Amino acid sequence: MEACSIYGGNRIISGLFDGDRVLPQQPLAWYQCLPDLLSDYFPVEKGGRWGLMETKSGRLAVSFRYEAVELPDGDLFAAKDEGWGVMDLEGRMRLPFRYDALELHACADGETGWPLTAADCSCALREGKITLLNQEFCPVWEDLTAWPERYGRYLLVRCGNVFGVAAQDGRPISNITFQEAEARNLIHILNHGITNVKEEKSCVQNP
Amino acid sequence: MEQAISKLQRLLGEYHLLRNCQEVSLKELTDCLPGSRKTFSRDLKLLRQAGVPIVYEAQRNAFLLKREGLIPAVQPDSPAQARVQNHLRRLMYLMDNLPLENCGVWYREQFPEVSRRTMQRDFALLCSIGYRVKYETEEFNCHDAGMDQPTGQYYCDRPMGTYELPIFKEI
Repeated sequence: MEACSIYGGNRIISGLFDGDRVLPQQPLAWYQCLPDLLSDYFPVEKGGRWGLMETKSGRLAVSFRYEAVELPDGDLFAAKDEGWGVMDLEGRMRLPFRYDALELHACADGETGWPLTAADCSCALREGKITLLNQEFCPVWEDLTAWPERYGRYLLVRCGNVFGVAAQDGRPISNITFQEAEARNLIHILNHGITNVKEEKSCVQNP
Repeated sequence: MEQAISKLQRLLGEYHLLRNCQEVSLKELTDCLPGSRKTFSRDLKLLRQAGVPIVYEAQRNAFLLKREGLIPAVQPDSPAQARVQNHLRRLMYLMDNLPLENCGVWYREQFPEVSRRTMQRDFALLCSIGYRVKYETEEFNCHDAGMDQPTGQYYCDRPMGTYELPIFKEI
């Protein structure tokens, strides 16, 4: 039996690893009283390397080989091995480990302004620039200067002072050549099918 | 009466809450700091650009830090924005790592390119939000020790409670 640590949010629980399963030394009580927050997997650390354990069975699903791991989204998870990349639970690499930070299936929420919201695309940071990745983890744009913001089914992307639009799964809709207002208007049209609020009002007043 | 605080103080107050609480709701932010929902939305975006790994958990309706410490920042558009971002990152790094003793020596090791005057300004700003960094002279006779000036060092007292920053509103 070897000592290990199970990490859930800001809480660390000590555990023992028997070569196949991780046995928590304290109950995962905080999570068990909130079953909707109970994840299928937990990051677990041994000797400075991280893997993933299955919550119910305790089986080590991903061995202790990464510098850091994040909770899986479906069968994919972000892991760090010198840089951040994406692996699947079968052990196949989906995105090479070369990014400084990675948001798997997430981007900023433009409507509420909250830092992250779910999306079908992913975003990665490398040398101060953001790369938008499509569903297949192919880079769409590699030199963005802000985290893409999601408005409905579309993303507002920014490169310096010019803006563009992509679908929320990362497919490019326009080039990055617009002024901010033009790009926002395009997103509004794509989401709602009308040009802007002023025109909508004038249509009502002057039928 | 509500005290006026600078944008930088507000950003550092938000960072203090995020790093000391398991999760922070929007209500908690508005209860503790002056600002509207839009202000906090802008602030959180700015913190995120500066490398604070904030995520919004819809299930909990709260913000939390994905991991401890700062991640690399997104490169700002202009040199002026880069200076502001560097300053903010340096202050957040100090909040995370400033030792209890010998803060001045530690600071110069961490940021050798930063002037002594800037260090004093950083410490003054941290003091204003409740991270008390103070300079204390050693209590011995400097003349006996062969020195003209008494020596001393910077000490840091971190805030005792999460909600005890002087910039927070009284609830």
